[in-house]
Amino acid sequence: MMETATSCTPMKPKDYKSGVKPVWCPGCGDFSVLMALTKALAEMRLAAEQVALISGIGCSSRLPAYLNVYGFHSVHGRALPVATGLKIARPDLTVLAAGGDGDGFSIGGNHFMHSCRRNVDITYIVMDNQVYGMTKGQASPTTDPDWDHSKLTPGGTKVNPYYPLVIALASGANFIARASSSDPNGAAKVIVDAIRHPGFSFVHILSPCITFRPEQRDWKKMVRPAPVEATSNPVTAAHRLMTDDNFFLGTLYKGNRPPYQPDLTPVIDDLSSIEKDFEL
Amino acid sequence: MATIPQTGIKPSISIAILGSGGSGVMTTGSLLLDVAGRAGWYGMMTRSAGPQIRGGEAAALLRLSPQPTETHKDHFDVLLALDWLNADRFVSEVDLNAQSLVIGDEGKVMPGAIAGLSGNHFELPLSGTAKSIKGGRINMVALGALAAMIGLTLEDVIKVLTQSLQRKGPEAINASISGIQAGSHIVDSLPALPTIGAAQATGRNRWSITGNEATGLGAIRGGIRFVAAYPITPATEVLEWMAPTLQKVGGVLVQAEDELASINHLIGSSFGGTPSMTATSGPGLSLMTESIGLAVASETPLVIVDVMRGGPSTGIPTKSEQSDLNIALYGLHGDAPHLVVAPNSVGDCVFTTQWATHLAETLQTACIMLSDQFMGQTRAIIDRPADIAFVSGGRQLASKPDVYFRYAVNDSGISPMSLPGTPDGQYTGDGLEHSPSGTPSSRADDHIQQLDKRKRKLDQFNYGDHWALTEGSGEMAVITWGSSTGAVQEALATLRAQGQEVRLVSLRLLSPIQPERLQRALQGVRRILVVEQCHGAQFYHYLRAFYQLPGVVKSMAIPGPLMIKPSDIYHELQSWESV
Amino acid sequence: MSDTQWQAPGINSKAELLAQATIMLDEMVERYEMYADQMEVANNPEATKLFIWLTEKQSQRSAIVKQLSAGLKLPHIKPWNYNWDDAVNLQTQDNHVAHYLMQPYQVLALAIHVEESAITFFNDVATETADPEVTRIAIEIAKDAHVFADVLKKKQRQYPEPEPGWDDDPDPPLVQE
Repeated sequence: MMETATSCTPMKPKDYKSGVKPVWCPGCGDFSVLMALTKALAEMRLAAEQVALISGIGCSSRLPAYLNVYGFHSVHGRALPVATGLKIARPDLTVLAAGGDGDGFSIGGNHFMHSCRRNVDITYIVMDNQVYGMTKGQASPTTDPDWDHSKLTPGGTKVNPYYPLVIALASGANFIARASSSDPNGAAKVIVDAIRHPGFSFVHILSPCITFRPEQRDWKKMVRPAPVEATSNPVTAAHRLMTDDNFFLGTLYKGNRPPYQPDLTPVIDDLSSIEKDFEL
Repeated sequence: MATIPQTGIKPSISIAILGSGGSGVMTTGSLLLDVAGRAGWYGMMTRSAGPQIRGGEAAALLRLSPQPTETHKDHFDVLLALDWLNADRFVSEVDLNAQSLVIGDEGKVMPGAIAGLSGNHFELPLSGTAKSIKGGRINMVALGALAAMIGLTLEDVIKVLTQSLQRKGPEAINASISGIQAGSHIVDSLPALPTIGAAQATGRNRWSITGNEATGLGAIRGGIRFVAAYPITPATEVLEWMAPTLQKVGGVLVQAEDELASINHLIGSSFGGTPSMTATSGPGLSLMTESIGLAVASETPLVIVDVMRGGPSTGIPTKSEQSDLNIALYGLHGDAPHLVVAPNSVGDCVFTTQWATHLAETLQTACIMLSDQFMGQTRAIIDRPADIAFVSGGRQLASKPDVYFRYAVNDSGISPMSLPGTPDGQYTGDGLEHSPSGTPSSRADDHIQQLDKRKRKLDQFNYGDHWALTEGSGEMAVITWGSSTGAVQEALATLRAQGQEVRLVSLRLLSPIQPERLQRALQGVRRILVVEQCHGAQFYHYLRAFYQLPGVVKSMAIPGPLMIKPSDIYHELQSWESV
Repeated sequence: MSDTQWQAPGINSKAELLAQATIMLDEMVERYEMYADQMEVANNPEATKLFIWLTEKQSQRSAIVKQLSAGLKLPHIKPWNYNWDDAVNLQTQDNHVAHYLMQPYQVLALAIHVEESAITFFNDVATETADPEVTRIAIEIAKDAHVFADVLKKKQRQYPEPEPGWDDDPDPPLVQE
């Protein structure tokens, strides 16, 4: 990415926090993502005012208010288009988008695909807990078909879950990684790499919902680093995804597609030549 | 149908050119309009076509006059068909009278529906003449014929043609010139057309422009530097004109994956400080409404141009209707005060879009501009729209705040905005109701404060004389808006010429309402006719809901796709007069 | 990372040790603070009070370590090189007490766990390092953690152990956006 203004003095993760107290349930994985993100920003020494974090709607989409960067809490599913517009108009900023699995893959699913495709230099962090927390625990696109704890889907959804990494790779994301909220330091590293990598970076973070999916506390025991290095070959990455069980952590893919960034340099300074076209 | 008496209204000549796809109807019409413009006439051209992507039948409908004109009159003086295939579909759009010349190609059978219309029927050897020329085309023969009929000089026609066909090379140009020359000689047998007065000498200040182009230009003049949009008829030309133009001025147009994306791209870019706009039509506007509400709540300036078409649903994409007024005014959920404006002519698209941008930026909210297919796709010869510079206003920025409150409550209701990159100005813009700092809040006091503030900033602003176009005096008034204005103006001119004074009020500012201004404009009025191109009388109901209208009020609400004719309005007023 | 992969880092200078200890203590302060906020937001005043108390205690200890570092240029350590995450990461412990109804006994159990992990960590550092100065300071920090753990244990005895069903809430979660 184009490095934005950095601070000369060392930054502490806490410098990136606002005074607003999160509304998340104690024990929620999103607290760790908040920590990971502030660690990543501190590590990069980014000036807080040069960073913008855009979100949609959902538990995890409350994130921007808890940070001392510029934030925008948009409507459900639209974090990516807002972030895209901002980055294209203001390439000098470090633009991040964040949200949950429902926001990003269900109502915002089309934007996810097209943002991967468009490859604007933004980093998208999805906190996946396989459930809609804010509306009291309904199934999300990443929920297993037999999860039957929601009144909305008695007996389970009976619908195959969505594989975000597969979609991201197929749609052309330039950086694809998975992290876990059980390892905020590892997640911080992935986020730093994602921000530094040009183009659209997708970071899938397993972030348990201890209220509606208490069994997800076990994720901590299930996650493990992927035994291989990141590849720039999409074919290799696709092969690896064939055996991915959703718990391998680390960077899967680092592509080398140039980001989409139109040149915003004016070539004329008044409108007379434009208006001339209308003259008879 | 009775016609408007010719006395007192602008003299003009109206020409309909019909033909199948591939015959070059539109080229003929455009060239004729340009030549007339060069010769000093004002004029306009609209187009009508079948549903086919290519091929199919098409009509170029022109009106030329020594005075500015933006409405078709009630009949066409000339109907010229390059061929008659499927021409009967245009019967409802092309009214003729007893004096009209109906001209077809020699030896071709006129369809019954056309033959049944009034008018004098003639045949000209159009295709025959074209065939006699190497590389000759029937539309160039027709162009030569029409130019000669209305008194345009061959020299002017050739000049315009040479310029516009430059890319096609000398061979094509020469063939076309031969066609035009030949065409100009085949009309000697026709009766003379009514004269429309001498053309004025033209200066540099005469433009040929469509409403959609004018909208784009107004946006650029207003400072729009970011556009995101999804292609949609009939708004696409706004985007097509803006994309390369924005590149020149340091802006960008992003073709988004859908309207949900495009409206949210704008929110992002505008949050970043760039004046931002989209252009769409009814279906797109419907998709955008949730995020227009977000712009209102988060106080993010944006301009949404809705080039209206026939609705509901996919409706009639290629035809005009003023039926998106309700969605523009009331389409947002919650109490979401925002701006709705409407240009009243092709040229006014420049000003109104520029004004829309100015208002959105100054008042930090969404501004919906309602143009329509007729205005957007009409090409008109007009005087160069004046340069307007708004001396004050624009986006108020926060400078070096000590403690920054993005949604600070103050008298004006306009809270200075801090742009990303500004140290110590960090905040989170939010569509959730919020406290002055921007922190989500469901408290009653925060909600009422922010609701009041968002309403207050729009209500207190001085919109000046731009709120409406007002003309004339008298005890009778017509209230209208948008592209119906042209037809109303022409009807009123006729009445005035007959000694009947009638007022015109064409609202440019539809929201927020301006009751005191309208009350002043209607002082002493006893009868009001409300004119709109809409089956549901949305404008009439809006006026009834929010304004005190004096005297007797009548609604004239006619749906698209046909444009309201000056004669319809004239007769409505005249019959009312004689009661 | 899971416990099985956890390794004590080989620390071979006083500056490095103090750098790690500082970050570790600062993080503990931050995490206790976050917990205090969470408990406040969840209307659990007893737990809030205890977390605030822990925040203060931890800040004092952090200040002492910083005094030890006076005049030394501490190396920067990237978060992903800490290696001791389990010792201090309150949020990611897979215990079930991270709960809005958690009781003082459980708050203190968390803190005791933190201190005991720290004791193990610094003892390991002390035995594995080649630098006697590092050994000396690491043992001192471990001792300090020990003392604090005892304080916590004593305090914990003032509170009853939660009965089964302590986390029962008759009301369902609230619907938000």
